[in-house]
Amino acid sequence: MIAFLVRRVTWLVATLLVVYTVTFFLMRAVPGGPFSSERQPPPEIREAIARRYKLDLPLSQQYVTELTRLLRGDLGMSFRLADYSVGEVIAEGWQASASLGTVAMVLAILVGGAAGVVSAARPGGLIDGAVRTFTMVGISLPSFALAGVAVLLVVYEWRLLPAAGWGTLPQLILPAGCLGAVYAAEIARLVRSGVVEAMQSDWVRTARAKGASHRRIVLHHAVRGAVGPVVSFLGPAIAGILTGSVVVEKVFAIPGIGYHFIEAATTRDYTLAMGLVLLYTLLLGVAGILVDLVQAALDPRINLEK
Amino acid sequence: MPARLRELVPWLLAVALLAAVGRAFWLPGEPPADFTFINGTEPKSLDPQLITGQPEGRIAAALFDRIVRWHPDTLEVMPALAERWEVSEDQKQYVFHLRDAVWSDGEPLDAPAIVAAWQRFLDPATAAEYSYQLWPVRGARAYGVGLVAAGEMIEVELDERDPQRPFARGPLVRGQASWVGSIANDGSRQASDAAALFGGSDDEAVLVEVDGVLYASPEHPLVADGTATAARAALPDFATRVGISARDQRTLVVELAEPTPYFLHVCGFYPLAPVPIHVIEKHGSPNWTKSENIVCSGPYRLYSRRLRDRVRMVRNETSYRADEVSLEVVDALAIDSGATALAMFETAAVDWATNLPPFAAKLFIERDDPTLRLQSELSIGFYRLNTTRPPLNDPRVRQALSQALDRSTIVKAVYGPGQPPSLSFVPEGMETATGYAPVQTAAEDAEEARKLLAAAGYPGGEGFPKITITFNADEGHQMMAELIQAQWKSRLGIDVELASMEWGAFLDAQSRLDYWVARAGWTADYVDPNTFLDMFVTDGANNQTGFSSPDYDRLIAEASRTPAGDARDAVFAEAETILMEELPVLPLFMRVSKNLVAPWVTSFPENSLDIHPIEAIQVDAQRQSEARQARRLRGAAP
Repeated sequence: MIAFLVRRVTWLVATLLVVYTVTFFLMRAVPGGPFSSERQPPPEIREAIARRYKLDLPLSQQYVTELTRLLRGDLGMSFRLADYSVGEVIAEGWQASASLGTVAMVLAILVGGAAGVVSAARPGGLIDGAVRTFTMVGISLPSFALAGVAVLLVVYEWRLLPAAGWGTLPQLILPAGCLGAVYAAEIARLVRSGVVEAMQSDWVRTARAKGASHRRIVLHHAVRGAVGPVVSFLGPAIAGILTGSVVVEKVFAIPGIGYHFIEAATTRDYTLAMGLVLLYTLLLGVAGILVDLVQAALDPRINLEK
Repeated sequence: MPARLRELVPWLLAVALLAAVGRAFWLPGEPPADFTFINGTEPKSLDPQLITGQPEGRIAAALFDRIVRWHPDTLEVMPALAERWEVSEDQKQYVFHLRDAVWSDGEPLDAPAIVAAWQRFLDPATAAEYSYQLWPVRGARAYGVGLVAAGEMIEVELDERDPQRPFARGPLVRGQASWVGSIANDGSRQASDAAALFGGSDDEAVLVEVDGVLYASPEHPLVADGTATAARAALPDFATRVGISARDQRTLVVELAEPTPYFLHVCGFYPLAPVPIHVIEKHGSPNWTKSENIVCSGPYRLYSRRLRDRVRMVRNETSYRADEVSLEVVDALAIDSGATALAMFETAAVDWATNLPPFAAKLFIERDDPTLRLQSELSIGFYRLNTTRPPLNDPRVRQALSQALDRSTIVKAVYGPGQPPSLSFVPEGMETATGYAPVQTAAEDAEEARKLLAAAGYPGGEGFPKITITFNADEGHQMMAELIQAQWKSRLGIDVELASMEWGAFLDAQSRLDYWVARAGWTADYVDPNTFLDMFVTDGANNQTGFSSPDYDRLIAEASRTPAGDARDAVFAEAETILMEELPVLPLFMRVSKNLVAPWVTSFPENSLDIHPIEAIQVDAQRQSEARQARRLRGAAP
């Protein structure tokens, strides 16, 4: 397991370095900069600003300075949110994104898991048909469309929940539902196919031969076949959901990382965008390693050393 | 993996999940504010010296007082930190008599505090974008650019820190610079006439000599070997060369280089608000803006700030204006989606929304909705023409493009009624505000336009190259470009392409003159024609059309030397006449500010700069709370 960890962490570090390099040069290649504005100050002031933020140095030098700073664990000051360091932005945005993401994910696992199992218990049945229709819609419907419909009905028509904002429980429900729905659909699909496949397996046939009830076969034996694919899916999904959902956070004005991410890109906030890209890479890498560890723990057939 | 460990894994996962869920429901809720408004995009900073945008300005103006302020309705200059002032005969000296004001920590906000704050504003190390607003002051520009030359009085800031005030400027060495230049590795000296700071590579790095001592940046090799003394900056001597001084604790004296009629008005602009130097020296920038450190001077002080969520302000009891303030707690929400803003407004979650989506604006105007407040702004929507690219370098072509347009039809189709077209670059509202009557360009005349185009060598549009209208991605900009494209095609017979660009790339293309025709807008910084007309001086930072006219430059310079009055207005009119004949820009429409204000807001000041001081807003709390309960803006459901 140690060898496995060393290998994977080395790969992760190499990936981060490549991502840093590509992001650095891509961002500088895009026209415009963090200080472009419809109101241009006189050139002398533009020079003073460039000097202050060291944007007047040659690119190669900026590349090295930024890399050394990052290696010290310092993500730098945000250009566009000038009162905050990138670390502070992430720390603040993280709290909202994590709250929203956790609730959405738990909803998705509960609803999606239950729907998948119920659906797989009688494949081809009425419930199965309904669940499969809903999962197809859930997977293909973009979240902004779902959020739009939800706002129209729940906020405008019924006046049940607040339109947007952050800080109270009612404000959490709608965005978590919209965000979770997409994941729930995906999980339902995975669980259903996992269970259906397991129903054909030898161990289920054995259990049936021993006289186990249908309920016990589905809930105790076949459901295990769905755990693997769901765990594999959850790794990157959790990394994604923790770094925030761009659309849902924007529509519901939630101060999370996803919102920062688009803003950082559109306003050319070099340091913030870099920090978030690296964070996302890191989370994805760590989630991948954790998924493999959990898979190995849950399934004795998996050997990490190979 | 050992079997026992394996059995633990599902339990560990379950515990982690429970902990995460428990954490997720721990939300940062706060009781609702007395007044909540949609402030648009997240403020860049709370430091008034470092900001330029409207959302930032709304907050800065509430937190930081200026020496004068603008009347909430008429924009006339009113006393603020300065109780009264005298202007000298030649309009070059202002003496401000300050009231006995304090910061919210009780420290005095007196003349020396304002001098120190303005000195920081001008300091090139602050890199304040709007610092040129103070450049009319004698010596301010040289200080702001950091130009030092041999033979002049300079101040050298030594690279030393005071542990009590770790972020204060270092000790100053003041004296006449005997030599300014760079020293190569071989020791040869290269004098330079004017130089800024100590940046650049070693060979080019600038050193200064005062009283036989050499000063250089701390990284310079000559500092390491002891030849030079480490210094952070060398600037013109502020005390003797910049016209900002404290005559005594309560008297601030400002001397201008030229009479600048709008200077007093600029003093009420938020970037000129004094910042608490004693706090900045203690906590440094930007840490002084954190809610636990910040000290304010305005009618409000900062209570809390949550990024991309809200800035919460509470009434500042130490302000001399505290009694005039009616709203105790105010939330400024950082929401830039117009659709989200509208949903919050309609469900009574906010009392004022500043950004509404174009589709909704049109709808609200058509049904004459009383919650929509329309107010014409000192702001112009126009197209820039790249005068360096043939055939747009020919004024006859630019004239033809202008006269071919039926502006009122176009503007009405895009924005609905209520947004008037404009034939002048300075918006018409300037006349009511200052008495300056804007000069109009020739009105619509398709026949004349065709003649002009023919005279330029393109009869019926024949041989006219394909030009492009560039705009930043936006429904309204797109629609306007399409209508203009159609009119130029049908009336002049020329083919025009449209290009929609992302904001950053669009600004970049415009400043590099990499366009044919580009959409633009400009809003007055202060109430004076100069804020529109000085844009088009040769190589002006906001010219961006390649337009250059020695006569125009001369007139703008003359206006800056002329005291306010008819003579100055005549000079401006002459300049605008040139602009409206040469047409490096096509004025299109006067912009109108659109604010959604809830029915229970009983006092909401409005003016032509779209500034609505929060301290002057009042609400009927009873009606507000009923609406909030029902989540309904409009009484009973229709």
